[in-house]
Amino acid sequence: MAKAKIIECGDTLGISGVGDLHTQILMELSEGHEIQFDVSQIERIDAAALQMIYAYSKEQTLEWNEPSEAFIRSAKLLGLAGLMNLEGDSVELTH
Amino acid sequence: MSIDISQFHDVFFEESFEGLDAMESGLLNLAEGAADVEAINTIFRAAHSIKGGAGTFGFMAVSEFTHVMETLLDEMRNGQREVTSDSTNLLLEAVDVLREMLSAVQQKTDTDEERIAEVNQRLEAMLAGEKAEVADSADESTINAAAVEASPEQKIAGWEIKFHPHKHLFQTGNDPVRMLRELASLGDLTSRVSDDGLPDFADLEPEDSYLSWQLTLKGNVPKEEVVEIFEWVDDDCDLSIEVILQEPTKVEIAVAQLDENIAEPVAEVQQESKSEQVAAPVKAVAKKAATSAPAATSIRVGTDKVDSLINLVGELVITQSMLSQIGDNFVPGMLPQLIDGLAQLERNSREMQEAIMRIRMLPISFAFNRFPRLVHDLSDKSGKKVELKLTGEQTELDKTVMEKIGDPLVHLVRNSLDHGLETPEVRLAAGKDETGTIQLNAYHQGGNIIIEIVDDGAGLNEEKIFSKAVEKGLVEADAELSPEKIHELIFLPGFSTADVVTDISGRGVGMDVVRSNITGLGGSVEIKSKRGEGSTFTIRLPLTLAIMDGQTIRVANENYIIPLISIIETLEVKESDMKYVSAKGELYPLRDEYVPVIRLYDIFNLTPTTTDLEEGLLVIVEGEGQKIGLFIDDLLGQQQVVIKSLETNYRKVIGLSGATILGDGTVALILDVPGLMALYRDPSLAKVITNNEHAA
Repeated sequence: MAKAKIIECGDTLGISGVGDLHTQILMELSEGHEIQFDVSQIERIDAAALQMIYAYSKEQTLEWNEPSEAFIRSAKLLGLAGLMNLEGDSVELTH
Repeated sequence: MSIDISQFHDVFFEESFEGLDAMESGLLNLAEGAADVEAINTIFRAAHSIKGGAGTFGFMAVSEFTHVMETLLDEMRNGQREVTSDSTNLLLEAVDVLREMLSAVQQKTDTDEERIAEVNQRLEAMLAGEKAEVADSADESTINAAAVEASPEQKIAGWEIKFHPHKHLFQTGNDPVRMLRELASLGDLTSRVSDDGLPDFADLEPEDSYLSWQLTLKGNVPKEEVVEIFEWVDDDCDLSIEVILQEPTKVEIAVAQLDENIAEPVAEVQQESKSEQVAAPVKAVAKKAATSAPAATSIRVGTDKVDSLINLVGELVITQSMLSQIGDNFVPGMLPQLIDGLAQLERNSREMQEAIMRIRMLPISFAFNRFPRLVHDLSDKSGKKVELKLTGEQTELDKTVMEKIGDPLVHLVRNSLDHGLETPEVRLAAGKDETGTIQLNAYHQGGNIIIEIVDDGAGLNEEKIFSKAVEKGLVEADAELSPEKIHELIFLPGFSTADVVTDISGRGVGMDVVRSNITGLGGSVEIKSKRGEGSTFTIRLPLTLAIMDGQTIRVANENYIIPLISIIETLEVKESDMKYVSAKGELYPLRDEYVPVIRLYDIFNLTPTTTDLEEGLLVIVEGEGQKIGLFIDDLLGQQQVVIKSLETNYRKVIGLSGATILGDGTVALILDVPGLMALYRDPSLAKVITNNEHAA
């Protein structure tokens, strides 16, 4: 298998960026790259972005390398954390 | 301040009579028993619009009468009430009464009060009476739901929320993450997601919403707080909010009581009052069945506009036949006639284009007319005294732009009222008139329409904005920002400085949404504010989305179009002026700033005819407040271009906003300046383009 290509998600990922990112991922996939996401810096992520990452994770298991707390919290809020194999039980939903 | 809304009466009557016709035919086709949700929905929508319109124009009798019908229909739509021939007939009768009422209002004649009262009474009797019947036959769970709001002694244990966003929800700037975070702040939230509609990754439209949620919020949370979170997405999702009660036993008791009450042969009046007590329906914001395909929008065009269009078509036909006659028997001596004919053809098509554009133009009063009411209500609520001034209501604007600008405008006006204007006491203390002013101005400037929202309130509090921005990690604490830059911070996502989060504004669904909506229309929004004197928001929008002024340019052997509005200037550069910075590439010193230079042939992967900057031109363009220089071969000419969507016909390409067909039949791509900026900032995106080009 080709080496995994890491998509750096930066600190903010939202609807304005998902269109381009989706295209970019499709291009990488067409070149045979496997994709992993680096979400360690995420401070803010919206549902559009999470939905896209989740859609990807349904087809390809994602391995998480130190996902940021904000990322885990957002995924939990949407009920996606378990589905995306995100560990992080320490993050509680309630404030 | 007053605006003459009587000018819209005709439109309202016309629409209402159309609505009544639709209701009538819908009711006539309504099958008994199993409800055809779509059909009921159509009828409901018609009733709803009539009610809303009548309320706006102050025809309260019509509005109140329609309200009862609407409630009945709503229950049918939600499956709480069966469709019977009795109810259908009664609704038909009500449609007749409503038609008479509307005619009476329109012709300023008297209405048949007795008949109205009689039908109204029957409607209300049906509403109350049958509710009891339904409750009687319904199973326990229905009654559970039906009994909730009636018994104040029962504690709320939480809420079951079904939240199914419509596809376009994200694009309205609403973010479920933010909403669910707010929900989670109210109590203990568990969310279960359903991905039934989620396509494969490759087929995903990443800006569409596919997921839906079933949420359980535990805690004694007032319903208003839950509803409020979804207030902004009311029309953009299917939502049901149902209560979870702490002591189910009490409900059982209530049910038992209810059964007893109904079992006894009580007088109708008594039964009515009991059923009201116990069986008041949960008025959840249930928006079932709103998922049906969006209705095709229509436009109401004055016959004079259509007539002038037909005239123009007539002239076009004459010109065409003249030209074909010349073509049939052409001899070189007829050249002047041919040139005349072509000039005439050009004039005809230009006039026709203008006439057709006028058809889509509506006075902005359509968007403004909701504000007097809004301001009135909000000022009542907030205890502030406000005068609303409107100018330029007759300024015309493309219908599509108008529809999309409505919500951002409401947002800005709410903001001005809530954050901008002070309370009468504060104003008096500051030596101002106790009545604040909000002014909405609209006027044309060049090919744009300018809308200003001006208030004479407190102005923006720069220190507060700055410290809030620091607190939220949006800027560094030691950053030195000019007041203008600080004002800009309020457009950042998630920014809200309201001391108290009110229901008027300030839930963080904020200015970023306003700005993204406006830039989505190809417009811009700016803010000017002075402490103690007030703020002015200036929205600049293109008059239409279909046509724009473009500058045709040549790069290598290809033609491209740059939107004229983004061009600042064009210059010849000297190689010696250029600076080279390893991280930033080429920079051109434009007066007191350095402008990055993008070589378009590089971006579009073309074989350059020249790479020497001195042989080409540098077009300075501006987007998102930043300038870049585009290196091109030549400027060709300016023209109006009809924008064709690339996304619809091909796919989205970064750096291009669309395409157009030039006079000679070739296709020219239209550059998207913000997209090019993004490419400059993140060159890895360029790879996508290159690959696309190969693929194409």
